[in-house]
Amino acid sequence: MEFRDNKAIYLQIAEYVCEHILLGKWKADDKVPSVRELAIEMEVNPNTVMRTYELLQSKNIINNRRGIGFFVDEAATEHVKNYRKQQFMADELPVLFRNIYLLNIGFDELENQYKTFVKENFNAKNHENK
Amino acid sequence: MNNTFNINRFGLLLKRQWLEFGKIYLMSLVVLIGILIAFYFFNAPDFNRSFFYKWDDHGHVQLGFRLPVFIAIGFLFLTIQASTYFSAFGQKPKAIMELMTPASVTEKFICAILFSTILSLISYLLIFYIIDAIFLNYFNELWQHSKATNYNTGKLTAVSFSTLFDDLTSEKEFKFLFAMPFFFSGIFLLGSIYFNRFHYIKTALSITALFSFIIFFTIKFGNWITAGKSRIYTVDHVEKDFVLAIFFWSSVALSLIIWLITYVRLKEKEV
Amino acid sequence: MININNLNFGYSKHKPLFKNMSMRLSNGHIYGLLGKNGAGKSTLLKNLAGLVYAQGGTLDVMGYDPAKRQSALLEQICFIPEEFYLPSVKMGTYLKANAPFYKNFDHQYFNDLIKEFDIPVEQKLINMSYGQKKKVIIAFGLATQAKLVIMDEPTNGLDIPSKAQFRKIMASAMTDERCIIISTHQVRDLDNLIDTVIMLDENDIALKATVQEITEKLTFKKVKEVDDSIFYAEPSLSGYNAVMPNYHQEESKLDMELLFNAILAEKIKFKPLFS
Repeated sequence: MEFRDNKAIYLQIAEYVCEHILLGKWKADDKVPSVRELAIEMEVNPNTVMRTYELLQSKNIINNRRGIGFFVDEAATEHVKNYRKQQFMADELPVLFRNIYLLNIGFDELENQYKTFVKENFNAKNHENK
Repeated sequence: MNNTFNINRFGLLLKRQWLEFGKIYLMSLVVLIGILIAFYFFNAPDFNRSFFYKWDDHGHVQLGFRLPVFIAIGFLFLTIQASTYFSAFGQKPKAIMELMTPASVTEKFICAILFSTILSLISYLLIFYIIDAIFLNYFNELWQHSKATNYNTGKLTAVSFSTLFDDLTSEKEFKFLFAMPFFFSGIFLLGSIYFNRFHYIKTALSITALFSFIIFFTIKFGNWITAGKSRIYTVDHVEKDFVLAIFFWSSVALSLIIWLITYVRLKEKEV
Repeated sequence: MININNLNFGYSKHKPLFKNMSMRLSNGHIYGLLGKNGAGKSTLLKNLAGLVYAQGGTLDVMGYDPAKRQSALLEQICFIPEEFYLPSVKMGTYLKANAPFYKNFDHQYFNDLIKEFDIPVEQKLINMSYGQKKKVIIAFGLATQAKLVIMDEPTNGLDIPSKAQFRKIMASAMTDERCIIISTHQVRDLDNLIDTVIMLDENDIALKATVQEITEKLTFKKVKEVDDSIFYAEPSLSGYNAVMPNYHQEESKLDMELLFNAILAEKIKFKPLFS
């Protein structure tokens, strides 16, 4: 995996795990790779992965079954979304707001843009799901 | 497990060194055999020149070339073997591998003595003995029916040759030289760990310088102590044996001291 | 696992390398040893392996004094020097000669590593390329199951795919019982493997801290302008790469190269943060 420069590695690995859960690659109650396995795959120190797993555990995204390993929480998708939302609000929204303010973009204009974006990118998918 | 000496680990070490040096060692033995055969071949006694033969006290014709060859080749063989053993310690990358091998200093040291001195000495003596025996067998068969005048007795005697080892063991003085191979081998072994490069030539130079100094000093000291005194010749056999015994034991002691220094050098070796 | 107490060492009396250096290293970590050329990275590693002797102070490695070179300690050390020598034999012979010294030697693991590194088994070791030889001794060293793994510039001479293989192998070699110390110039090869940074400078340890500690105390980011809050900055394409105290609990990625240069340049500013 290519790591980006701006964020702590353990957070980037957390994102990777969350991504897998959101995309349904790892489903509820599935066993996630062991610390060692993921460390090898990511070419990072196992202690870093351990830190990731501790974080995800505290967010109830994965849980530790003693002696067996880590498993995806039953409500992991929801918890991931919560976690991502928190993160988005804390990290990305201020940057966005700053640009909106600087470039003097109106909320109406934004709303229109947003709706078209959703239509183009996600509507088709939503129909499929239904 | 014992940290100083463990027979199991020592065995592993011997095996490791053999796998590493064995091939080269065997090659050096082949070279040695070749050289010795060449000497015997070119110095084979010529019946037509029997006039010049020297006869020993036991009625055997002496092969004059044999002893110098035995000593000179033996010296070279032993010292070269000893000198190459620790040469690895002169090269950093090799020395690191040697030092990091999990065996104690004692084991590494005994292994060094065994390979460089004991094994070389035994194989040299054995090879020399066999070659000597084969050639003498051949010479004796060739001269089986020939007779020549023994100039010691003045009688016409059947020509026969004795082995070098018969010659050596019959001469009492040679016994006192038994520690010499250990002494020289020890010195060159020490030289190989002491110097990082050109061990052989550096050791040879150092030893020459040392002996020159000792001889010079002895002569000066002797002159000084005997200055103005007249000489009395009373060398009897007891006294001669005593001097030889001192010579023998001091060479034994010196060999042991040199081994001890080598051990310490090995222990203190840093890379 | 390792306890260094007031270590003094120098190759000559007038130029000491270490003056009263003290440090503790424990198992379950990969330590990254950084320093300028001549700062003594290799020498510190040699001190730990007992290849050179401390001139003052004490060294304790797993309860042994490395200077005594006891075999019980030697079989627990995997030392990968920068320059090394392999004899003119095939791999099988090398294994036969050397592996039995290590009671826990794992032949299966060795074969796996050799396969993963894609090394020809039937070739004489001495005829291999530098990189291949290096991979052989790394594979051998790790297969000994030694508890202390010391590597001096391990990625030197490895090609790009081998470096990735090496990182994977080291990630798997790191266990709770093991202490791994890696010295390196090429920080970028290894920065995600290292969990604790040790920096040598001016006869002593300029910094010893875990990546977590460092990123809690410092933040690494791109800025447009340099102001007083910034400890150190290097110009980059879009402004500056800067190090500054972590006022807002940001979770940035440690830029080891930047940190290295920052500490060399502005040692005093960092001192109060890490003590």
